Amino acid sequence: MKKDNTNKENLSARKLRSRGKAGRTSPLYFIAEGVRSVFLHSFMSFAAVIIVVACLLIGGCFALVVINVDAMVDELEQENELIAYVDDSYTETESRSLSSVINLIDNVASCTFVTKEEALQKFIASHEDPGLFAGTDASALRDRYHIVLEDITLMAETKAQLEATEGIAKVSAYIELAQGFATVRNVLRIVSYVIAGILLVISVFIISNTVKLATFNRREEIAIMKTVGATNSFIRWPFVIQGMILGFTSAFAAFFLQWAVYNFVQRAVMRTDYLGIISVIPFERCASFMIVVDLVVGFLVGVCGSSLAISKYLKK
Amino acid sequence: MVRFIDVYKEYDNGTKAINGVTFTINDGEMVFLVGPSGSGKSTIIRLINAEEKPTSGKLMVNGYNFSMMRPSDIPFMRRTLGVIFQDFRLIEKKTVLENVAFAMRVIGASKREIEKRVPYVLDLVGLSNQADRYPDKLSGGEQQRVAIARALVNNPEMIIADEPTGNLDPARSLEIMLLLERINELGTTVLIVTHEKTLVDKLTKRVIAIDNGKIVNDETGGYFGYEEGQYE
Repeated sequence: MKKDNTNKENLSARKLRSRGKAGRTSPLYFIAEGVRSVFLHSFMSFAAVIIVVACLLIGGCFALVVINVDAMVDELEQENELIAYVDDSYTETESRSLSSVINLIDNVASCTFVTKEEALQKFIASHEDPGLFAGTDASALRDRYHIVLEDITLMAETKAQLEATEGIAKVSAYIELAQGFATVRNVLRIVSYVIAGILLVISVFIISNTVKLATFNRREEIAIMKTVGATNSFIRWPFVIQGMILGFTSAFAAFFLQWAVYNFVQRAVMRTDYLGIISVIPFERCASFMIVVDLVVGFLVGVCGSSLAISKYLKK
Repeated sequence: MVRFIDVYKEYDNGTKAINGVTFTINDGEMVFLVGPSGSGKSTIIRLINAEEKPTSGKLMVNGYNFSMMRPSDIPFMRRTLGVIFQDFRLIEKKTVLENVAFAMRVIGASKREIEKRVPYVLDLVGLSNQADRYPDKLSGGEQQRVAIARALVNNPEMIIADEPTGNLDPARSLEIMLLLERINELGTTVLIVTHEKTLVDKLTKRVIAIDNGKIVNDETGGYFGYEEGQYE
C-alpha cells in the first residue's frame, strides 16, 4: 500500500475523518443558516408569518373570550346561592346547630345562618317604601341558611342532600340558571379547543410548506451534504431554526395584535354596557399567560412544521 | 478497502440489479468498473455509498461491515469516501473555495483547519487561481476538478468517480483521469465507473467488467480480452 501524502502538510486523515464525532459545529452556524434561509425565501416567510399570526390571533381571541366567560361564571357561581329553610318547629339554637351538619355535605363551600328577623329586615330594606311592611311579624318567615357551592353543576345533587337533612324544611335553588352558566362555559371551551386544534394544524401545514420550499430549493445542497457525510442533525438544524424563527416572529406579532384588539374591544364594551352586566378582565391580567401560550404554540408549530418538511430528505 | 462477498440486490419492483457479486478492492488500488448501461455499475456505487442496502451477501467498506452498521454510522462511513459525479454537482451560489470548504464544514472542521486545508487541495487539482470564481464561470474540466477537490478535501480513504469524464471532451477527460491517477499515486484508493475505453486502455489499471449484474472479467490491462466497444 502506498503512503498517504495528500495530507503531509495538513491534518492527518484519521483526525479529519473523525471530526464529526470529536468536533461540534457551532450553534451560531446553524442560526446563521436558519436566518439566511428565512431571508432567501423572504416572500414565503412573510406569507407564512401572516397566516400563522392570523391563526394565533383567532385562537388567542377565543382563548380570551373563554378566560372572560370563565371569570364571569366564577363570579356568578359565587352569587348563585342555595337557600335552605329551617323547620318552623326548631328553636334558633337548634337551627344554628344545623350548620355543622350542612358543612359536612360534599360540595358545600360555606353556609351563613340568617335568622327570620334578619331575613325580614333584609326583605324590607330591599324595597323602596319600607313603610309598607310596618308591623310585619318575623314569625311569618323561617330561619335559613345561605349556602355557597363549590361546583354549581352539582347543584341538583346538593339540593337533594340538603332536603334529606333533618331540620331542613325546604330548599330553593335556581338549578336551570346554574346549569345554563355551566353549559355556556363548557360549550365555549369545547369550541375553542376544536378551533385551536384546527388552527394549530393549519399553522403547522403553512410552516411546513414554507420550509419544504426551502428544502426543495436546496435539495442539491442537501444531497451533497449527505454524500460528504453530514449527519441528519447537521442537515436538520438550520431548517428547524428557520421554522422556529418563523414561529416566534408570528407569536410576538400575534401577541401584540391580540393586545391591541383586546383593548379596542374592552373600550367598546365599556362604552356600550351601561348596566355593567359584562365585566372584561384587563389584558394585563392575562398578558403573561397569552405570551407564554403564543410562544409555546409558535415554537411547536415551527419545530413540527420544519421537521415534517425535512423528514423526507433525511430518510434517503 | 471494499469487499463484496456474494452480494445480491433486488429492487422493490423485482429488478435484479446485482446477482452474486464478489470482489475486493484493496487499499491504494486504482480500479475501473466497466459494463453496459443497466449492467449494475450504478447499483454497486450506490451500495458502496450506503444509498441502498444489499438484499443478501456481505459488504464491507473501509472497515465498516454493512450488516452490522447502524443508520447513525452511515455519515461516518461516507466520510471515508469521496464521490465524484458525471454532472459535477457543485453548488452554483458558492465559489470554488466555498464549495470545497463546504465539505469540510459539513463534518465539523474548524475555520482554521478549513483555511489551511482548502488552498492545499485546490493547488493539488490546479485551481488555486480560480478559488473566488463561481462554478458557472468555469469550463467542464475545471468544474470536475472542483468536484475532485471537494471529494478529496476530507482526505478520504477512497475516491469513487461515477462517469467523471462523461460530460468532457477527450483532452479534458484525459486530464481528469491523469489527475485521478496522481491522487491514487499519493495513496488514495480510486474506483472509476466509465465507458471511456481509450482512457481505460491508456492507464492499464485493474478493470472489473460487469454485465447483467455479474462480474464477467476482473484483470489488469484495460479491455484486454474483450471486443472493442463492447461496453460503450
